[in-house]
Amino acid sequence: MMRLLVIAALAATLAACIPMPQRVHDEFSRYDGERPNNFLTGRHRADQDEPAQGVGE
Amino acid sequence: MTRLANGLALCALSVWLSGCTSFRDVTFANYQEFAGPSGEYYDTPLASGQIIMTGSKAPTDILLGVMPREFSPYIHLGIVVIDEGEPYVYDETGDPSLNLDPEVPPTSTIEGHVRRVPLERFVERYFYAEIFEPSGADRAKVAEFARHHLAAKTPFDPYFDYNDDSAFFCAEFVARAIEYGGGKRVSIAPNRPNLSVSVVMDWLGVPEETIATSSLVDHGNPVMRMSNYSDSEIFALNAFKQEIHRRFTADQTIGNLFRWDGMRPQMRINGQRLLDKSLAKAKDLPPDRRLIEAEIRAIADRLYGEFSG
Repeated sequence: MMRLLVIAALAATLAACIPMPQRVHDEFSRYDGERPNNFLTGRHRADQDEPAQGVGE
Repeated sequence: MTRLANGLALCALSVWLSGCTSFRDVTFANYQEFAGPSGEYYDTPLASGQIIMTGSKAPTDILLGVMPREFSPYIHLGIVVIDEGEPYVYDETGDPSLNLDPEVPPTSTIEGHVRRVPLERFVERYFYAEIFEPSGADRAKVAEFARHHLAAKTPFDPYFDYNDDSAFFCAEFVARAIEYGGGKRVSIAPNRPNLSVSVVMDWLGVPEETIATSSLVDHGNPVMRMSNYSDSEIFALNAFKQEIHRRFTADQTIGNLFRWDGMRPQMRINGQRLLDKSLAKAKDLPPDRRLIEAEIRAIADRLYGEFSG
């Protein structure tokens, strides 16, 4: 019974995961918030009152 | 009295067992009608052939929103049809199935066809929904098109190919219905140039062009709005998306806003902070679209720096 539950859980996890090639994965990993004047990340505002916190998750 | 109580209990039980609820039984915190009764569904403006458009704050939907050249706050759309006295939404959507090969994109495993969902269940899935008249089209013909393709089980097009008439994606389903109803053929616009987005689109096999949804309806004049959020919060969500869209220039990477958690994109903390602050600020503001857009832009300027883009 336990084995069945483990298999079911594994199957559910696999079904829920979307495998992607490295080149696509890299696009989601390419955080360039350290770049000056990035107007989506605010890293250049680190000395201001509300600096964004970069990756941080 | 006991007989009445038994009757009510039986009625409630039958509704529970059938899983059915009438649209009239559902209460939205924010329910507005901007037009007079249509005569089709009690005293509401609801009518078959109207177009429903939804907004969402799900990260996947925010990601899809930055891709088109023209900003649109809406993420999914369908056609309202009144069947047997109850309002439904006919729409095109699909679900991915199991896939273990990273070179096989999820688009190639997605299957679905035109479906029919009770209006209240459709609306409850989103941050808000607005209903519009179809642009320059006969509503009865639009509804006829929807019913035909439900019966035909016309498949969902996961490749978002507008040139392929054998399958539809959601906006194409609506666009084709409006054309069938006598409206003009909608325009296809290229996505904005962005190398990072191109990598993902290339993998998915999706062309880098999309339907300009603004041409489908008169955006300025909704017939109805339904949400469990206030107008100010709805306008703030739209203003947040518009600000992100404005700042997602050709040199930005997807990774600057999103990370992948294995199943779907998640917003990074910088974008999430702007979203959270936008919705929090909305609670203090009157439902004035322009005022809210200015306030959200000011918050983005403080967080990210002033951007004239």
